[in-house]
Amino acid sequence: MAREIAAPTRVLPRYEEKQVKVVGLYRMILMRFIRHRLAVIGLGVETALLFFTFVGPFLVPYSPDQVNLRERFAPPSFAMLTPVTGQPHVYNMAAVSAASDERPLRFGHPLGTDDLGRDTMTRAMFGGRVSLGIGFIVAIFATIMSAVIGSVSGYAGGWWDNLIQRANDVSHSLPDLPILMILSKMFPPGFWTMCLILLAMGGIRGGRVTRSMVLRLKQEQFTEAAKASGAAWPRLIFRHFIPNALSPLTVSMTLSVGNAIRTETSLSYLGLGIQPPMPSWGNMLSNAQQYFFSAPWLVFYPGIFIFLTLFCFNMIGDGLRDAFDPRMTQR
Amino acid sequence: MGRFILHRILQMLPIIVLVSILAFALLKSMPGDPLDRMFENNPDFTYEDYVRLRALYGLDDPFYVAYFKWASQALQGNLGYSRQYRVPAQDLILPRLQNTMTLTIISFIFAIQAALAIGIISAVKQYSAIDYASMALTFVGSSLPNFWLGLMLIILFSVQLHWLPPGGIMSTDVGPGFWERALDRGKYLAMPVFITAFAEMTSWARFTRNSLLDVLQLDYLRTARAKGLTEQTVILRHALKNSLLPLVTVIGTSFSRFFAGAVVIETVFSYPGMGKLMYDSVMGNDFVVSMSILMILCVMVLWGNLLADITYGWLDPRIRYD
Repeated sequence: MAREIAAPTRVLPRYEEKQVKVVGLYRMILMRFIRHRLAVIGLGVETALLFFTFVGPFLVPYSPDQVNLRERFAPPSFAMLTPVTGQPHVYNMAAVSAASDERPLRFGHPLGTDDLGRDTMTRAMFGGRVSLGIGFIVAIFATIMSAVIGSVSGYAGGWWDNLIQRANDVSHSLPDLPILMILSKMFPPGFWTMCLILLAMGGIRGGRVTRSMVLRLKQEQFTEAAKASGAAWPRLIFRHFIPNALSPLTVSMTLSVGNAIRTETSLSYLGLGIQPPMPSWGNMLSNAQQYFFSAPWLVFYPGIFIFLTLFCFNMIGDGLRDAFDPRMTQR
Repeated sequence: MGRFILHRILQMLPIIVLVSILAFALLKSMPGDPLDRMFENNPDFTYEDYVRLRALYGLDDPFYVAYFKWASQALQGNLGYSRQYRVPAQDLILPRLQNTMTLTIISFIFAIQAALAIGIISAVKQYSAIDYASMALTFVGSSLPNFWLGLMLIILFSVQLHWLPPGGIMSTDVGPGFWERALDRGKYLAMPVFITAFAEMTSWARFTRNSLLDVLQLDYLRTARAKGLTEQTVILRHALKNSLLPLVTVIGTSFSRFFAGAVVIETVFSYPGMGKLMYDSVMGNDFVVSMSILMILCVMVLWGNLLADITYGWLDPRIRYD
């Protein structure tokens, strides 16, 4: 393993015998991230999931709301015979061997179908668009909001800081799910309302990281230099403090994608989030709960998608934290 | 210490007042008229009656008057009247609060035992197979959505194996003996407790491990070993107590997550606790009940935080509160 030094590229003096590889900061971060194997796997799986949800719908022959009462509760199968009244349903290998001219083989339902014969895989793709979309939008905007609020609070100090910190205390002493339940009952939830509701909670809550970062950066000499050259507070915050706090912010954003998805799916599972017929990984589960006995795949698959997403974002967040600052690593 | 606790309680009061104002404002701005239920099936109910009842119940009062009326009644233990169940809200909440506390306290005890055990073992045997396995478990555990885990456990233990009941709180045909009843309750509690405990346990175990690893490098432990103490004494008596400090902070912030989790888990297992009542009351537009629960949860979370702070001072005598 070559030694790594974060420094601008320069010509090394001749007399130095040892070959020292000079690596730029971003390259070093990238290399450290790649070394975190689980994070790379997480990134790969997450990319695959994004492809699944955003490209997949163009490849499957079903639409998410396509009701087909002949194919209710079809078990997970890649091949099946077209159902005919009076004859048993045939799936998978049995279907391949039983295919005939009047009952030709066709593409089945890889993740099964629900009580209305809707294809679970197609619904999972569209549900993923909703869940992942909410996760990303909420995480990005909540991070921006909390960064701005946190740095204003840290920079202004005094009265403002006190006010913002007390608001933060209040929002931390409230258990979030009950509040969100009440909010989403008050505002009939669709995609964007859901984002706003989650943002209202997440935006206020963050900010502690940025605040403590800004409190530290305020003492630095470059702040003094910037002030001396006439920089006003918006410039200080947006050009100096936030870029410096970028690495913890990136980590917390990655982790809050997972949190937002977890909250959204919980609410939708309870029937208070995204409302059917719009699918979400959460409300697919609440619908499936009645069919424990007859169709366990309806419970299994949406949950697996949620789990994979949360797991991947946790891993990516962990890898990013290691990559940005090895000292922050929790061994 | 006494002064510190008093100070902290005084600090809590404005937060409670603020939250109660927020809760009350939400309650007032809820869609639906509280009188709807009264006259929905009553053809004799005239508009004059409606106006008279509005005045009688103080529904036309300005916000601050209504708030003070509500707050003074709430302080006397009268939380309001449930529209859905047609009983006073406190009669509805108190027995369920007991059930939720049972669930939460048992989960808490299990979680902390398991977290300490796993954390200590994986810190002492760092980079061993058991360390990797338990840390992988904690990562998986922190990513599992609790409602899904609940559903999967129901499928496994209730639907497939028939070992545990899928939901509820106790059987109807249970005998009178104490142990019989305890065993019966235990069966119903097993899965909810496991899930409530598991989610928090995983993050606590990771914290225990990391802070114990930090402490294990310190000089005073070398001294302790050098003077001939057994490894067990060194770890359990000298290292552990110091490594508990960050854990106490984490546990202090976990109370709100416990109660948030209770809403979901009690709903999954139809466990008649406060979380389930919260869900039912939100779904049934019974906002007097849901706001009262919200207030109770908030007060309990604040007390939990206070308790964590006191424990912190007790564990670390270096901290002086003046």
